[in-house]
Amino acid sequence: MPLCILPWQSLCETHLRRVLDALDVGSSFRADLIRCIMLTALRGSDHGHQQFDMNINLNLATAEEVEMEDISIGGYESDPDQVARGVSRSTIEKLEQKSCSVQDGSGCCCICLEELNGEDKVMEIPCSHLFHSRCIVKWLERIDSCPLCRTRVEVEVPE
Amino acid sequence: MIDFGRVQKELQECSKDFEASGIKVSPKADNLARLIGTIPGPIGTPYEGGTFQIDITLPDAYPFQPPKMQFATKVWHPNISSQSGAICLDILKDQWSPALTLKTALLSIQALLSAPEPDDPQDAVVAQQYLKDYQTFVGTARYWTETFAKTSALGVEEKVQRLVEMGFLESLVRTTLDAVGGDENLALEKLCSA
Ligand SMILES: [Zn+2]
Ligand SMILES: [Zn+2]
Repeated sequence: MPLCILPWQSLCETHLRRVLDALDVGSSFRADLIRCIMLTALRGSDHGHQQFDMNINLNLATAEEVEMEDISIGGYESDPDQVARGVSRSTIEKLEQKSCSVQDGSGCCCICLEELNGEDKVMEIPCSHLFHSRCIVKWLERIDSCPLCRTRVEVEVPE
Repeated sequence: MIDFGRVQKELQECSKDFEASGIKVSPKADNLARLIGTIPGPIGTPYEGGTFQIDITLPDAYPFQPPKMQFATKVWHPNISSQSGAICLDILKDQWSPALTLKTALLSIQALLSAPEPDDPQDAVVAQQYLKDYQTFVGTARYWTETFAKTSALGVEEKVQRLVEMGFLESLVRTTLDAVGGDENLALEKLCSA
């Protein structure tokens, strides 16, 4: 199912119906299957997931004998709580220790679009890009790459 | 909590270089979480001459989460649903970065209009046509631009607003206006008799 249609329940149902039509399964089985898939999907979105992959393996034996083998959900792409796409707490703490202040006119924080000025705590991440500490930490908790150059943020563990 | 300070800044930036970009973003209501973006159809494409409106909804965690964007103007394009206006674009999903803005996202959508990716379709019917019968695709896309994205189709937002102010539900107003081809008086008649 194209990820982009997931927010539209009716589109998902239409899409599923179209796919299942091609399989020539019975209409009552088809309805059951659609209901089952939509429920699984809704359960996913109840947990706040906006996108997820659902792998459905159907074994079609004969036109009458259809077996639904496996419905599983995996890879909650946009949910930072489910998949560790953010950087670890210890890495964030390490970066926080090194955060400092910079001179006025050192540029602008691309996250809040405000100037970096002398009073702000500023963090430099390994790719050398600068942000307000408060801004970049919020992002790194979700995603482990630089907002500007997408370089992965890794900090060596100190001995 | 949406960073409204940043949204304000974005709106100012965007209106400053409207002359150069042709891209407009304006709030729909007074809470700044729902906006409407406008992009001109790229020159040299079947969308040339059209003005496309995009519904924008900001999630609570904006800019740490991508804005939700969807075409309000009907458009014929492999990566945009011809029915719902849903857009298939990676930066609006897992490739979002807070260094992007509403303007850069709209620019990316404009670029998508110039360079469809039929192998990663949003609308299977359109994508099939694009791949198998390009001439017909161009004809249909141009026809949709003429019909839905030209000046006559503009002003829809004003019509919607006027009708909503009369006390009708916005969603109902939009579907009714759609059903009568944008005729405000006919829509009002239908709404009153409903
Ligand atoms: Zn900042
Ligand atoms: Zn960087």
